[in-house]
Amino acid sequence: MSLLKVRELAVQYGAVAALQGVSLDVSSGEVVALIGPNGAGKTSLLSAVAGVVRPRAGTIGFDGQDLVGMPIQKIVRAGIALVPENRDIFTKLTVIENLLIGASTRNDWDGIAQDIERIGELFPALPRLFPRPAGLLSGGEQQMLAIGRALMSRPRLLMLDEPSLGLAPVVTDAVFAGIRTLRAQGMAILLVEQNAVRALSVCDRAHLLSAGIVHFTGTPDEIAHAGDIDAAYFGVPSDVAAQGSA
Amino acid sequence: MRNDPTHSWQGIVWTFLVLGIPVAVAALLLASTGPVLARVVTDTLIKLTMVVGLYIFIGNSGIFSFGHAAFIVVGSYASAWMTIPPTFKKVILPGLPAFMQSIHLDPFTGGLVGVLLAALLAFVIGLALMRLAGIAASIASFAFFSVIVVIYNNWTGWTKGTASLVGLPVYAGPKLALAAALIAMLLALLFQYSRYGLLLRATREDAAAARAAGVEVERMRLIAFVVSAAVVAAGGVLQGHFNGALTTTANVHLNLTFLILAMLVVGGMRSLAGAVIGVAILAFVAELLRQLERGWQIGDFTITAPSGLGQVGLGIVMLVVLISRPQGLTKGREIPMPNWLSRRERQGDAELIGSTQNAR
Repeated sequence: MSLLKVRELAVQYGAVAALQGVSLDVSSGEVVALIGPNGAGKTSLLSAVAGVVRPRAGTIGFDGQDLVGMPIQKIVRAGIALVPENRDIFTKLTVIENLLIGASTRNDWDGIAQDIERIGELFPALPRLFPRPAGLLSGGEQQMLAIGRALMSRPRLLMLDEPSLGLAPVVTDAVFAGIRTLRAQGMAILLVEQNAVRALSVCDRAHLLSAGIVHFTGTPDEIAHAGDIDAAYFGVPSDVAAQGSA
Repeated sequence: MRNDPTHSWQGIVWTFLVLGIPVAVAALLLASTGPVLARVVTDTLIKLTMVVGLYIFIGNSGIFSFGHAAFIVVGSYASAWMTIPPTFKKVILPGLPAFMQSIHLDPFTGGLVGVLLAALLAFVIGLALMRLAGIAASIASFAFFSVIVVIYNNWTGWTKGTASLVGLPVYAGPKLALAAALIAMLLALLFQYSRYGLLLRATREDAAAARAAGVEVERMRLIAFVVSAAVVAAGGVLQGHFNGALTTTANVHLNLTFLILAMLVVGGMRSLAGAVIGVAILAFVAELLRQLERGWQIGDFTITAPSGLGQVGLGIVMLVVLISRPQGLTKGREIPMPNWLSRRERQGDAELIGSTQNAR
């Protein structure tokens, strides 16, 4: 049974239609990737699920609840955590404080302490930085902290928006190693990523999004062989792209 | 901040002692020199209580409030109604309803009634006000203050309107004011250390991000607002029972508002050290200027500064600080713990987690 069920979702900013009837599912324990070019509507989809923007039409079901119109804090309590593209770290507060803020919905102090340790195991670079102001961290460390903070709410669905953005390849490796570990632990993840190769390397299924429409859905293998990626990214039919490259 | 000690309970004790002991020693020493200085000390300690109360809300939430003087008015009048002896009350406030006429509480309980009434008012008003942020919240808080002052100005039967209300039992002296200031400081530190304090500071940094992390922004602000109003009102109650008279004149409360805000801003509104140091410095400057206004004897000459110099002087101090150190003299930092005290704490991450766990 699917944990997250998005049906015919439409998001509009003024005259611009960011999403035009997108449907997708994420089952528990599944990693689903959303790939596609800039402006495809990937971030809009995550924002709508997290309650940051209100959809114009469509439904978002999470574990039987309807999320549309629900305040952000309630969505977090329902079990969805978003790591936004800009990471939204509290730069003047320390790393450990950032993590504790992520646990604002919980009161099980022993569990919180355990989770802080678990996040230290997931991202071994973090623990020695705990007492440091988060603003002094490198981009990669901030990304790890952002993921860690999201995990502190014990989400059942983790949504990651462009975790590789602006990171050096070696740092991206560390971040994706963490994502793989989470996947192995059975965390349901909805991953938005421009770097299609990276995204396809960790996901169970992927949706190719372009101009607010899902163009293709399939396993990483199916997508890699579909040839539609070029068309979605460059806005030309795949046979033209093939000719061009020939 | 790395050198901010208020992340551990040892740091809380350190911060309390390093600020509280000098305040206590200075206050008791100065107060023992004579009645004139004792009055100045009491007045300053009462202001310190108010500034620390303001700090609890402004420092942690980042929202400027110009409305806290309303809690001073509400708290002090309520305490007056409760503590003025009934025989007096009949003469001073004939307009009070019969059941209020007969009430006579001891100073502590009467003061508590004032504080609780202010806290209740803060809760009700805060429900609406805490939905705002930034300059809108500041303006709304000022509007709230104006509404309260207008009500008290025209509520003649209970407040004597624009005339002063006199006859309050005068019981506030330097020792009581010192106790109040120290309790306020301890409360502020505990709030700062608590989870509510941390979550509120997260909303100060970035309200949208805090919300996205599941923080109930309005609720955190409201908790701080109520605690802050209660502490400021306690200062107001003491002030009433220090002067023995109350007024509803808006100007008096506006001057007080700007003085205590200036104290907080000069010291640095994001640390308790800032609140304490700001009060100490501005109280000292204000007293110095008041002496000058009264006249300064050098040999046969008496130099008298023009009256009003006090206000101008405070303005200049504030300007200089805002220009040269916009974050205040402490730059919003607490006084760091010396290494030999904090070394034990830095042993490892395990203990760090342990210490944050205590923030329940």
